Amino acid sequence: MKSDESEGKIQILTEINKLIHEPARLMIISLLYVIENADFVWIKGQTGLTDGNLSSHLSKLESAGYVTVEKSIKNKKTNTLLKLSEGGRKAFEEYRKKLTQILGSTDN
Amino acid sequence: MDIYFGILIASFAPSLSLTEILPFPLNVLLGPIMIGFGLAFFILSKKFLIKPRIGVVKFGRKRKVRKRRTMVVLSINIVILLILFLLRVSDIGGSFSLPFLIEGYLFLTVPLCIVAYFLQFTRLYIYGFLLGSGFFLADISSIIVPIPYNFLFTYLLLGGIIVIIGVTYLIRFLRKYPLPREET
Repeated sequence: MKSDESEGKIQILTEINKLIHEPARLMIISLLYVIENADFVWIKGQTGLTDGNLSSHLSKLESAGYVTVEKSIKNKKTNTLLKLSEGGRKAFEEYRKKLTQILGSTDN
Repeated sequence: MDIYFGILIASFAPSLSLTEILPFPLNVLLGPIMIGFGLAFFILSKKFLIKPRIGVVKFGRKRKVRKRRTMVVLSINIVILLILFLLRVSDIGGSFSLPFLIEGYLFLTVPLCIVAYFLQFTRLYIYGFLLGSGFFLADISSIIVPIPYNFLFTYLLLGGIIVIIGVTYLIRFLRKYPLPREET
């Protein structure tokens, strides 16, 4: 009986959103979750990721529809404004719920 | 922010002590010119030094709530202080008068400490105390500096201290955050 229960809980692990679960993307989404929007430079400074690394993670999040990316030209320089989409917000909340569930069930 | 605040305090100096000495319109305009200079420095440094280095962020609901709360508490505080001030200058208060030090703390330090608390800007507590002590320090300094130059001396000194702190923080900031290469 107990074994079935823990098996069920462990199975939730497989349902966890792997796109968000990756540490760098988790950092990006967590930051965007608590703010309205931010530009590329701010996110880069907060996460400590390199330009290329951040761009690559943002592309994945944008493809999944979790993050909206708006590019504009300001003072002859590219300015990238990032915002968590409604879908991204829901996905993160779902992820957080599942993770709490799993972590809560790890008590002896 | 610190540099702007320092210049703002220093701009009190000409208004408080040079009004009668400087020729018109310089006596009236010197204070506002200094404030304008400080404000221009604040806006330009934010645009050309800070934003390119740390980027732009628009904070969420929590920060907005805190800002609104600051405004409410500060408004209540200003109303209370205004009543106290009116009592002080009108006949209603009778012999109601406070020493310079208490007045400075009450009318300047308290509001600034409230702003510092809500904005979580720790240095503003110190600046609040420096500014609040201004009238008292000017009063004391009149022993060595003739009136009305005691105000000039005190407020330039206090403003100068804050500007120096601000410049130190700015240099540290510029060293810590070099200008990033253009994003890819």
